[in-house]
Amino acid sequence: MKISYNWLKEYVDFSMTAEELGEALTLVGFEVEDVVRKGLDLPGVVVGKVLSKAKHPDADKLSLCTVTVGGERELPIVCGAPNVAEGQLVPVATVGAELPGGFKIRKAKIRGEVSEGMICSEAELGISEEADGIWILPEGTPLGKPLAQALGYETDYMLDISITPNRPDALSHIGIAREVAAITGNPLKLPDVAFPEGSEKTAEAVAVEIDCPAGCPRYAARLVRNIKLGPSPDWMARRLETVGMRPINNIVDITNYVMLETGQPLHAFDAERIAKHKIVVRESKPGETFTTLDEKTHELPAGTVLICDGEKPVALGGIMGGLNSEVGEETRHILLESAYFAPSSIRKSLRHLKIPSEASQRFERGVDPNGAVFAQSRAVALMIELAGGEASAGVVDNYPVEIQPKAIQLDAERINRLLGTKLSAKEMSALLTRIGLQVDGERVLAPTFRPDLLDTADIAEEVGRLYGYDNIPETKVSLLPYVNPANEFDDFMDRLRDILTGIGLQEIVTNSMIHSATWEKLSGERVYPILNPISSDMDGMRNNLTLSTLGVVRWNYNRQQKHLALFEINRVYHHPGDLNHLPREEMRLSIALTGVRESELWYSAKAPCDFYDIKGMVDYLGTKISLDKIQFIPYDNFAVESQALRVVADGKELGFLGKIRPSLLKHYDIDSPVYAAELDVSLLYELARREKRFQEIPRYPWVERDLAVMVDRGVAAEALVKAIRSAGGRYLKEVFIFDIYSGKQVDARQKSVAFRLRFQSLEKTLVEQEVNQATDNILKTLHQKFAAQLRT
Amino acid sequence: MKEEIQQLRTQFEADIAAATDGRDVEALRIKYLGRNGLVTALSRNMKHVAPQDRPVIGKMINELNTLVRDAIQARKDDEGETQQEAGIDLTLPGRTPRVGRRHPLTQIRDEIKQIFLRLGFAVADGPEVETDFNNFEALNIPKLHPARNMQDTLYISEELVLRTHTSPVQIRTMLKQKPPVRIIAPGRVYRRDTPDASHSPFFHQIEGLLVDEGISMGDLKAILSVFTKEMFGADTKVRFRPSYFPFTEPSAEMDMWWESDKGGRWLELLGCGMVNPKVLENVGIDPQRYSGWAFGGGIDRMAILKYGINDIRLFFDNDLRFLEQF
Repeated sequence: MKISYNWLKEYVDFSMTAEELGEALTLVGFEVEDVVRKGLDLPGVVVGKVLSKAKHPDADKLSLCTVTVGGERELPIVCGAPNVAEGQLVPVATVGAELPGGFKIRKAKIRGEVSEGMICSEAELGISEEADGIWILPEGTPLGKPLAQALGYETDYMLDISITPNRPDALSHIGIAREVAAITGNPLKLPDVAFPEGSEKTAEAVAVEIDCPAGCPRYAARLVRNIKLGPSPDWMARRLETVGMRPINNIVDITNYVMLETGQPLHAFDAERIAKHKIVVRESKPGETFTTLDEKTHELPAGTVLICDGEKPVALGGIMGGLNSEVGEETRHILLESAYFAPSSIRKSLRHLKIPSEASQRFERGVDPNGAVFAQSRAVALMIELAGGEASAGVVDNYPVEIQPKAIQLDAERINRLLGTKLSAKEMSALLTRIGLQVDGERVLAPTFRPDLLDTADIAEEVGRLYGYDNIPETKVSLLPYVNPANEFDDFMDRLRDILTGIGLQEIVTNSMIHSATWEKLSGERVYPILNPISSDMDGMRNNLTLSTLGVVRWNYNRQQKHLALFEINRVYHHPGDLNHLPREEMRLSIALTGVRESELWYSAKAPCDFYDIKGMVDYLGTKISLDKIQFIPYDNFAVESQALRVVADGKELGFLGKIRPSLLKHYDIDSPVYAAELDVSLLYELARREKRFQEIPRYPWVERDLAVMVDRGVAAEALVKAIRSAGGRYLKEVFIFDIYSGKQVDARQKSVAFRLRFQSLEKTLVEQEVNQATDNILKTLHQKFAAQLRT
Repeated sequence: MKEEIQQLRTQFEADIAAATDGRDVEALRIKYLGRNGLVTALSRNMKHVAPQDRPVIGKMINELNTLVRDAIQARKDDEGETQQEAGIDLTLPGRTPRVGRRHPLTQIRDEIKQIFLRLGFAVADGPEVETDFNNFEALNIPKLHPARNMQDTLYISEELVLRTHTSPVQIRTMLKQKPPVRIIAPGRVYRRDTPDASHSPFFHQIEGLLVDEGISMGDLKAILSVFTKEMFGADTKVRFRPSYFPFTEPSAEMDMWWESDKGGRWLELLGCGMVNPKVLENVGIDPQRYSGWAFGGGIDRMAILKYGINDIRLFFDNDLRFLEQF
């Protein structure tokens, strides 16, 4: 809501500056988002007259003008505008004036000719964007007067206030003034709405019938005869402009002005276009259409409140008037509507019609049903004053069931308990009366302009905000005993982040909304769609994290950052088959590696990362969270192939790891290998062993044996290790592979695998013989199972 | 004799301190411990000492001898080491351990979580795709309520939405758990906003909820000002001003005083208020007996303020040059 500072002063006295006013309103709940200086404040800019115009001797596009600004002296001014001409009235910035943007006018020589001022365009004065030549003022503008004064401008401020939806009363200058009155303690001054009535009786000239009192509980009509349509006076036009409304003509401007003043939307019909001088308010029938005054035809949802005359619909009640009854140049008589439409009915219609208007915005939140006649009278008075009209006598006010102020109990004890204050009922009632509430003993009467006040909590808010939230004392925080148990899953994710950052991975956070078609194609799995997406590239919820992570790889890859080690822990969404069901949201972990393993600095081997990096990370993660028996099984899917494994623990599939498919890399324009993993975090959490058991540290030294065997290339390392473990006897504690070799020294079909074996006992130092026996046994088994030969 | 020994010791300490390289040290060895060295000479002079003084003087000479020998040996050891490693270039950069970082939003979330854990809150959670009931209806935002226009909603179907705030977690928690309730709920939320420097169609919020007997707005102010001071510094100034949320009554916005190059101003930090009695009724909690407060604030917004970030999209581009700054 835009409020004019000057206008507001009509209804309440205050001495605050616009900035101070903004601050004070903000602190009672009306957040002032902006304070903008409006109107013209142009000292030194006056109305001048061009006496003569000649060509500049030394420049084709410049003219030498003589200008009078009313004084005796005539000013020589060099002007560059093509439209300057003798006899024009123009704005002249005299020497010493400062134009918006800080441009100072000085006496100057332009190409050798003296210039004592500047003839200005509208843009140069900050009036409008119009920069096409100088501003030619209308005939009769008083010569020599300061421009602002001559045109009826005065300095004003526009306060842009964000009005919360519970306060429709504040969508008006009087509503805001009521709050200012409460802040300052000064009285609220309402405008005088008295006017002389003519002889014609409204009741005899107009009939109002309401067929749908639920949607339209009140409809008041009056006639204003013999108006003269014309422009509004400057003061009204300027005020409307200040709050961002374009002046149209005196009648339309008056209805807008009164709406902005009182909050009551009004509608002026051309009375001669109202058939049979009859108003019928009814609900629309299915399939009915209507053309609003913006020349748009709407198909109406059934139940829309329609204002009809004796023959046809003439307005969408509370939303917009019709083209067929609009005030136009020919209009002589006005039928002025002031009505109350029920918010629920307006909201229902707006849901389908989507015609946001100043009127509907107010009605859907709740206009004061008991303010209709006051606002109408105000408008009639203004029409008589500004358009020379003649009012019919009396109002036809169809208001079958009067809406009463709501009585709410003033429960001071409960209010203090909610706020943490110690105010007496008397102090509370003093605060409440300031904003127009009546307190009658233990009862608060909430006026009908405050439909938001329904119960004690609402009254508590009023007391609180008028007392000042900042005056509510902070309670001494005393820690209550714990009430909610720790969230172990959330803590587990924190632990995962510790582990993953500890092994050099950078965390990323990505968008969960994705381009469905692409993702369905790439993942081969359905995507959970969004009904009203912002754009097609965010029209579904992702079904995996790997593709999001690859997107980040691409982003960095395109920006010269090609060595990446990333992870994300976030949700994916599984289509439940039926869109009326919630999707299964699953927490996932994704990892991606590409580029060199370490840094590119002098000490690094600059080796590119490979399959064993991603496998090692997943394995390490499993060890850190004490996963029992993590298994890796050859696999491929939409993301990984050839060097790819399914990760399984305790018989449950945790996810996958491996080398990203070349086709997928190509899709993401990445031209070096990426290794990735995606795991189910809930499963990790479920399978992680949280208890740790101490194991005794051996007191006796281990004995090491290194063993290199030749096997066929196809023999899996894991199988060899498994065989070694089973044949190694009770003292074999550790087996690890320390070298793999295939190449010139060995048969092309074979490879050499070198193991280091560690034997150890908790009870004694092992003797050579025990170790040799075990080693022989191992060799024998490897030979039997894999035809392995000891490499010598 | 005693003075002589003491003097020699002082002289040696000066000599060894002045020695700059191995050659100097070797010269000192000869000077003090050589066949004609100064310490050797002292021992030789023992015979001139009165027999009753010999044990004392002898001990002193021995001590001096040990001191000189050890000092010279220590210098020679160090010298050897230095020579061995003479080839090393001390100006080369050291090896940087490769350690990852948490995303800045996670860092802020962690910080908030830690503050509230210390205050006795626990983390609660809920899905991002929500029912209309949990996201709106139960929070006192019926179907046609104008407050629905306050947040443009992304829908899945008539009855399912991408949650527009973390407040549905309040509903989920209170439906399961009767008071006392004390939780925070950080998480991702969605709005139908076109992305630009200050808008993202998804972002992160933190919700707080405390319900018990006798809870007042004074408690809310106390906890939130502790939180703000922990988060933004002990001298952070906050103010509370009236606002409107359908699910709280009274409602407030908490502003924080923010100093920047352009001067100070109040910045909106979070929305809060006393849980609306209608919301308590909706989840079967008696509003006559219990009251509570709730708040909701933007995690991304707090990170933006704290780090002075000028574009929310930077969080989700995940450019390493950005992430590595935190």
